[in-house]
Order: sequence, then structure tokens, then C-alpha cells
Amino acid sequence: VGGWLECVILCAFTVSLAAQTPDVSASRPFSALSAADRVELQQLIARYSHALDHAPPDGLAFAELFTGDGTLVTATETFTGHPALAAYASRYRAANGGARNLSTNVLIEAVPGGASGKVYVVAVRSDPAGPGSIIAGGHFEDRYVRTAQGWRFLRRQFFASRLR
Amino acid sequence: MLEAQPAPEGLFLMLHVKTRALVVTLAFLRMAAPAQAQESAKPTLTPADYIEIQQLVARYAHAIDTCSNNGYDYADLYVPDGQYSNSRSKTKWIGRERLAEAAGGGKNGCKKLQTENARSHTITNLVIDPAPEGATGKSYLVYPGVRGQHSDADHSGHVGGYQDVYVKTPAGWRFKSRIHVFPPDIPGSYKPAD
Repeated sequence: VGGWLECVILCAFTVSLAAQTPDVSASRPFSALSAADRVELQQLIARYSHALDHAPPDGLAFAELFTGDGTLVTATETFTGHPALAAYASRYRAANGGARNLSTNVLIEAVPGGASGKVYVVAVRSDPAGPGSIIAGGHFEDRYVRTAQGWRFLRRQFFASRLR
Repeated sequence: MLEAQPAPEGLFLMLHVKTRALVVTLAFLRMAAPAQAQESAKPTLTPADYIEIQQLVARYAHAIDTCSNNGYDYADLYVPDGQYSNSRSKTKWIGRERLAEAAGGGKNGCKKLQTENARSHTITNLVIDPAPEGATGKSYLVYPGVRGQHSDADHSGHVGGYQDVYVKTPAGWRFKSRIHVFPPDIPGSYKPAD
């Protein structure tokens, strides 16, 4: 009796413990982004604009949306690592105070090692003496990875709209 | 003939001593895990919560811009004692009737649809965070108008954003409060005077 009883009890405990083991999405096949992953990535993309346009001028809140070795490629320059990214955000805000970056049409896809995204962006500014104006537009092409702190930008590159 | 079943403690005593030790250890771990979880318990939101709040915010724009159901579709996006306000006025719109009026309906009869420029509340960059009462949100707001011109300069183009508190009711997520935060104040960090 002891043998099968031990087996039943141990199996029951094992199943019980497994049921409360946290989901480790990093080990999932790359084709399986969960609903939670997609929501968190949407939130990351929304936070980018708030951090660039509104966050304290030291730029740290902006930089921390990227991995430690993350890269931002603008129309003219490349910034890699938190110090460079923070400096970019600080400089952007000083030069474009009042600009607001609106992100729309968020497209997220699973790729090996994380996710990729394409996001439209329109930068607008309200002129106190006149109507609001669109000062830039285009799209981002992104790579995201999941870190211990959540999803982060590994790379974000801006492609400006161009007139032909 | 039925045999008497051993009591649970009898079953336990039938196990090998090493197995008993293992069972006790596993039972301890099972009890300890929820305790650890409680220690680090923070408000959380499910993906469904995020999506429902995103839908609530999208419905807000449609309801206020169309003044549908004489503004009551807008009012019903709030809890019964919900309130709308903005950072440039001390006026607060509290409760269903006042909220319907805020949308241009109620006793106002949606006359704005014939007399005012359409605002097309364009809401983007919605960031949602879990909070003890439910959730909070911050977003951007644009009145695109015609080439950025809607009415006066304060109500054209980029006009700041919203700062929200949401609560989950039996009928779904609803606004507890929404503040239109005009520049230079910042949605998410605006502190009302009272």
C-alpha cells in the first residue's frame, strides 16, 4: 500500500507546486507572444512619448525604457547605452520644448529572442500665437527584448516621412 | 462488505519515514509560497483589464464627439458619482446629469453639433498603471481641426492630455475621474488645487 500511496501523494504535490510556478515566457517559442506581452509592449511604446516629452530633464526615465546597451537611431544620429540615451532625451526636450510625439498604428510581431514593432509617430506643437502644427512625422522600427524589469527597447530607429 | 478506510493521519503514518519528511517539506513550501506572494502583493491588472480600459478611453472620444444618446452615453462611461474637470477651470461636472451636459447633452440638447467646430478628441499614448482603487491613466489629446486650427489657440492642435482614475464595477471599467490637463501642466503629475 505504501508504494502506490507515496506515488499518489508525491504526484499530487508535484502537480500542485507546478501549478503555482510562474510562467517563464522567455522560454516560449518565438511565435507565442501572450496577450500580456502585447499589452506590456503597447505600454512601453506609450511611455516612450511621455518620457521624451514630459519626464524630468535628466533624461533617465527615457533611457531606462531601453536595455543597458539599447540603441536609438534618429534621422541623423545614433545613441547607444543609457548615458547617451539620457543625454539625447535631455537635449531633445531643450530643443523641442512643447513638442508632443503621438504614437499610433502600433504593429507588434514575435521574432526570435523577443519582438519587433512598427509604430507611426506624429510630432505636433502648439504655437501660443497660432494653430497647432505638425513638425515631424514618420515611423519607428523597433526591436524589443524582455528583461527582468519587463519589456525594453533593444533598438529603435526613426524613419522620417519624405516628399518625393 | 466495505472495509473501514484509514483516517488521513493513518495514511501519513503508513509512509516511509523519508517520504514523510519529503511530504512535510513540500507542504511547507506550498504554504510558504502564498505568504511570499502576499508580502510582495501589489495591485495588478490583467491583459483583459488593460484592453477594457483602452476601450473605455476610445469610447470616451466617440461619445463626446457625437453627443450620442443626448450625452448620456458619455455620462455612463463614469461611475454614478464620477467627475470631469479641467486644469483651467474650477468647475467640476459631477454625476450623470452634469456629465451629460459636459458632453453637450442633457439640458443642452447637443446643440453644439450645430453651433461648434467638431473637436475630434484624438487620444494617444495611453499609459495605464494599476492602483489600489483600480487603475490610473495618462494620455495625450489633440484637436486636429483643419490643419491644426480648431478654435482659439488654447483649443487647437496639441492640447495637453488626460489624467484619469478608473474603477472596476459590475458593469465593467468606468471613469472615477478625468481631468483634462492643459499645457504647461503635465498629465499624470498634475495636482488639482483642492
